[in-house]
Amino acid sequence: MARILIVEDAPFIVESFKEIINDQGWQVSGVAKTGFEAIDSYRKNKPDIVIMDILLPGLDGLAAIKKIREIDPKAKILVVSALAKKGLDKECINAGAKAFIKKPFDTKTFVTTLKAIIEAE
Amino acid sequence: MAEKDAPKMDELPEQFIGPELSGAILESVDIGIFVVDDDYNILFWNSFMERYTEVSRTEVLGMNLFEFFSHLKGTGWPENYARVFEEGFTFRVYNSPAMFIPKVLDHKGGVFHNIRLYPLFAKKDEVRGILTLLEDVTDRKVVDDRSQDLFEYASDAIFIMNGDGRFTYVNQRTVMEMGLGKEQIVGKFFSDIVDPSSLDGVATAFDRLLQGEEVKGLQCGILDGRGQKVHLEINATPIRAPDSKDITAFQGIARNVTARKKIEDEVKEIKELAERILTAIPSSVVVVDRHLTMHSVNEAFCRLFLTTEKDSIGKNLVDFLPADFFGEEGSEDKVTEVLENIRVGRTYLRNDVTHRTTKGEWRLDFEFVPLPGGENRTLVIIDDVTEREKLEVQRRERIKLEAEVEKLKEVDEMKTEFISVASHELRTPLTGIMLYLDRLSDGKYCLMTETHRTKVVSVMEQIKLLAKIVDEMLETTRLEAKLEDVVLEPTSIKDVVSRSVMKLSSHAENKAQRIELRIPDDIPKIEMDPDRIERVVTNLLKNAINYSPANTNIWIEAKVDHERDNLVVKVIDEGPGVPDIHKEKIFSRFYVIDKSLTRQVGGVGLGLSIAKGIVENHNGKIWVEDGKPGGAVFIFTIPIGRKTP
Repeated sequence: MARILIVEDAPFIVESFKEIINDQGWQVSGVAKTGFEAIDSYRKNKPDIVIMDILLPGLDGLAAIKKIREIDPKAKILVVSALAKKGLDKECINAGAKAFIKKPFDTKTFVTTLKAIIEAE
Repeated sequence: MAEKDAPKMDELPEQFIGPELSGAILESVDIGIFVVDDDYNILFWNSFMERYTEVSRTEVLGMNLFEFFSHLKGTGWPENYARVFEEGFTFRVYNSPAMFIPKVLDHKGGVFHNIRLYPLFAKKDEVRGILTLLEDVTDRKVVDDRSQDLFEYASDAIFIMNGDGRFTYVNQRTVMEMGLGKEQIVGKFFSDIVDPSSLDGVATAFDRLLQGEEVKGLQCGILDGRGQKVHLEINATPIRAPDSKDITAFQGIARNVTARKKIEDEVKEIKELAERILTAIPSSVVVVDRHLTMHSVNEAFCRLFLTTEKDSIGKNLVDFLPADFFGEEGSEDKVTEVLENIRVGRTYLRNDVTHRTTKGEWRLDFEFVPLPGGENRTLVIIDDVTEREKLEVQRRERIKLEAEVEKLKEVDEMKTEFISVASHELRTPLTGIMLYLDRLSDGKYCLMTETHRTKVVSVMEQIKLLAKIVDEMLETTRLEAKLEDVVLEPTSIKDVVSRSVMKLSSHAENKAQRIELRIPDDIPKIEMDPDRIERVVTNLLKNAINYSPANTNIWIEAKVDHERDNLVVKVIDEGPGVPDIHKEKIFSRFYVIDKSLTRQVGGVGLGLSIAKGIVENHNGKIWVEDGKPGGAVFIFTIPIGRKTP
C-alpha cells in the first residue's frame, strides 16, 4: 500500500487529494503546508511518494524537492502547480521530481500520473 | 665688332685730314693717330703717339709697324690688320688691353684702349693703307669696373641677355637666386629656366622689349637648380647698339618675391576662404561702419532680408532691421544703444527678435561685434533661431511624453504582475472545483442520474474554458513583458504546420472543410521556437476554421523569400474576410469583430494578440490581407539567420 505525503497549502485541495488517494486504496502518510513541514514529515514518515505544490509559505516547493532528494536520493516526487512560469516543469524535473502536472487538472490525469510513478522503480 | 660702312679713301681728306685744319686737329687731339701703308710702313704718327710711346715720329716714320713694335707679334694685331686689308671693313675693339706699352702713364692693373682701324682706299676695293685711332680708356675702364662690381654684388639679380634671349651676363645675386653656377646660366635661354606657367607673360614681355619698350613689374616664376619655384619681379629695358638704333640686348633687374608672393597667396587664400565661409554659413553677416552703413553683406543676409548685395551695400542697416528690433521704446533708443556700444568697442547682443517678411516669420538673434583696429568696422552676425526654438519646444514635449510613457510602462508592469498573480490565484480554486466536480459526476458523493451527470460535465467544460482563458491572459501578458525568451532551434516549418493541422483536423472535418498544405518538401530549417510558432499557426488555423463557413477550403503556404531573407507563412481561407477598419485592431487583446460569432466559437479575442506577440518576439511581422475572392489571408514572417532581441 503506497504511502503518500501531501504538500499543499490550500485545505480544500488537500481534502480532494485525500479522497482520491483513499479511493485508490493508498494511504496519506502526512500533510504539510510549508516546505519545512514537508522535509520534517518526509524524515519522520518516509513516504513512498510526495505530492508537492511549488508556491508555499516559507521554503518553496523547489527548495523542498532538493532538500528531500538530499535526504533520500530515491525520493519520488510529483509536482502539482498553478504557477505558469515557463520552464518550471524542467526546473522541477532537474531538481529531482518525477513528473509535473499543471493545475487545474482532472482526476484521471492525476491518478494516472500517480500510478505511473508508484509503479516505476 | 666689324662694320662694312667705313668711309671711303676719297672722301677722307674732307672729313678727316682736310687741307688746312686737319694737321692741327690731328696733332691737338688726345687720341693716338697713325697710318700704315700696305707694307705696314708707318706713314703718319701724331704727337699723342709720340708722347704716349716716347717714340718720335722721326724715329718711326717709314718703319714697319710690327718690326718696330715687335711686342705686337703674337697679340693678334698683325692678323687684325691683315683682315682689314683683305676685307676692307672697319675694325673696332673696346676696352682692349693696351696695344702699345705706354711709357708716360703708370696705371696699376693694366692699360686699356678703344682701338679703331679704318681702311684707306686708293680706289674701290683696293685698300692702300690703314688709319688707326687709339684712345686710352684706362681711367674710364676703372670706373666701369667699379660700377661692374656694384652690379656684380648688388642685392638684386642683374642680368643681361642678347637679342635672342640668351644670358650673356648675370651677377652674383642671380647666381644665388637660381642656384646655378654662372657658367651654367650664361648661354642659356631665358625660356629654359622659366616656370611653364609664366611662359606666356615672359613672351609678351620680350615682344615689348623688342618694340623698344620697358617692362616693369613682370611677375615671373623660374625653376632654380633644385627645381624649386622662385617668384621674381623683373624690370627690364632694351639695350641699343652704341651707334645704331637696333636693339641688340636686354638688361634686367630681378627681385626675389617668393616670400612676398607666398604671403600674398596666403592672404588671398584666407580672403577666399573667408568669403567662402561667409557664403556658406547659415548666419547672416554684415560689416557696418560706425554709422551702421553697410559695407559688406553675405548671401544669407540677402536671403533673409529679401535684398541683393547691390541693393544693400551703402545703405543703412537700420532700414533693414525688423520692427521688433526697436522694441516698444521707439527706434531711436535702440539704435542709440547699438551705436553707443559700438563706439566703446563693446559687443552688443539682442536676442529673439521677430522678423516678418512676405516669405514667413523668423526669430533672430543679433550680435554686433566691433572689430579691433577695424577703423570703425563692426561685424553684425544675425542668427536664425526659429528652428532652435522649435526644437526646444519639441524637446520639452518629448521629455513630457517620455515621462508619460515611463508612467504608462509602470502601470503596464503593475498590470502584468497583477495578471500573473491573479492567474495563479484563479487556478488554485479551479483545481479544487475541477476535482470535486469530477468526483461528483462519478457519483462519489450521491447517486447521479444521467441528466445530473451531463450537467456536471458541462460545468466542468466551462471550468476548463475558464482555465484556458486564464492561460491565454497570462501568455499575452508574458509576451508583452517579454519575461521569457523564445528558445530558437533549427526547425522545419512543414513539421510545425503538420502538427498543428493534425490537432485541428477533427474540427475541420466537423465543418467539412479541407485543409491543404503548400509547403515545399525541401524548405530549409530555420531558427525559431517550434512550440511557440506552432501556437501561432494553430491560432491562425483555428480562426480560419471557426470563422469560415462549412464546406470551404483552407490553404497553408510557406516559402522562403530570399530577397528579404524571410520565411513567409500564409493561412488563406474562404471566410468573410477582415474589413479594413479591423485589419490592425484584430491583433490587439480582447478584440473581436463579431461578439455573437465569438460566443458561438468560444474565443475570447486573445488568439491573434498572442500570435502577434510570438511573431514579434521572433523579430517578425504579422498582418492580414484580403484574399481572392473574399476570404482572409493571414501572413507572418520570420527573419532568417537573425537573433531575436
